[in-house]
Amino acid sequence: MNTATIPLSTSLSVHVSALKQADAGTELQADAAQRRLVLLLEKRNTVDRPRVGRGRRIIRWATVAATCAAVVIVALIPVLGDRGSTAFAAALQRLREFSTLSMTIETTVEGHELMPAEGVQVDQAGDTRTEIRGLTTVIVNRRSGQVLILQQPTHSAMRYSIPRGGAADSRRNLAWLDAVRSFRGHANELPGTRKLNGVIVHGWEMNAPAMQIVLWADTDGVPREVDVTGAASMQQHMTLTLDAPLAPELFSTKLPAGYSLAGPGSR
Amino acid sequence: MTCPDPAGDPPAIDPADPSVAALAVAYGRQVFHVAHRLLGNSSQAEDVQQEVFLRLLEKPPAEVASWPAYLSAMATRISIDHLRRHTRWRRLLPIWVASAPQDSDSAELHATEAQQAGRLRIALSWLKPRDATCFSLRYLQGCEIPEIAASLGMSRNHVSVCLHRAQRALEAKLGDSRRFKEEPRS
Repeated sequence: MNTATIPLSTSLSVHVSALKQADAGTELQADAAQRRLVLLLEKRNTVDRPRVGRGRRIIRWATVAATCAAVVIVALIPVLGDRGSTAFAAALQRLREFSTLSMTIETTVEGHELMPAEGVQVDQAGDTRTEIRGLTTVIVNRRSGQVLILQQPTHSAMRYSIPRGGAADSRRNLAWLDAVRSFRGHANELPGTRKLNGVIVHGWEMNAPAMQIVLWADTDGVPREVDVTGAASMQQHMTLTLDAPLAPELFSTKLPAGYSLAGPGSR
Repeated sequence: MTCPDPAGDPPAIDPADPSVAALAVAYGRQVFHVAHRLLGNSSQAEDVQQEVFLRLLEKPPAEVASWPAYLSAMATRISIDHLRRHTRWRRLLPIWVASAPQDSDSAELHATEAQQAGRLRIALSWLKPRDATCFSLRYLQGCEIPEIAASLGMSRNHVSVCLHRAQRALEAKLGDSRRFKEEPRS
């Protein structure tokens, strides 16, 4: 076959030119991004660290974690010291084995709120329910292979099948969890302690791909809070509750009373 | 022609031992521009830029004939993934559309040229990822077919087929605005 390219049509050429032009004038942003990239690479340990696939199911992690838990605890003790290391290892283990996770997320950039606070609930099967401050609810139910979106102000809903490759954005708020679960590097215990609701917590700092994570856990190894710093100075502060009972209906993609379907799932 | 660096000629690096840090200094801006051109958003472009070099750290490639071409291809592939994901979700979530990053979208509403760029981005997100990647490398980054074939691990004929398919699909979509309401290909 001839590998010469066919000339673009006039219409397509115009669109291509427009897209090339849209990139003009971004030198300042490129410079800033470049500085942050160099800093990020300087900070990072060059030791290879494995990443976890986005679509991996929680239940599979739990199985693997159960096998590896003892090894992890033993491996971390000489790195972290005595009591703190035990609490950190226990916190990691809890995050690998929880049956349910509920968390509230506040996202800021340089101290300014980037988006409304979100509440996220996850069950053992990896189903998720995300609520954005009474505006929108997104339920991803892996077992039924469906996503249900509820627009609360208008009481309208959309339901569709989980796209091939997974509902990637439903994992957006769980990227830190993937990173913590696969973490095998050196965690720095932060000096001092904090008091959360009367409970003393210790902090451990971890460098993960594209993010820096601080995990706050009490002396029994119960994870309480997580702070994540990502690209472009975006920060997420999360308050965690593990293993609290969650009603199965929370993850149901059945249409709630008072809502009407619109869009692709309405037929 | 080699895949060009939109920001100018990068500094020379030692081809025998290209550390990721050296590659980042030499080609970081190029990767940012490749991603920005496709995504039209600085924050997302920076995410892609960091992802490219972190992937290099985690899984260094065995042999690379041309780093600019390799990194352009990698940035294009990741950007196309981002584009597909964001287009799909932003179409389904009207509230999130309102809160989506605005540094290019606000301009798109008012400038014809930016609107055309936005339409092409949406149309690209609906193509098969490989077709979109080949098209972007050829017509947005200016890579030649042999470079695209080498950097994507494809035959030259296969690249040509993908390009042809992408052109036909894009011309059909951009020539008929009603098609923008259809489902993207999965």
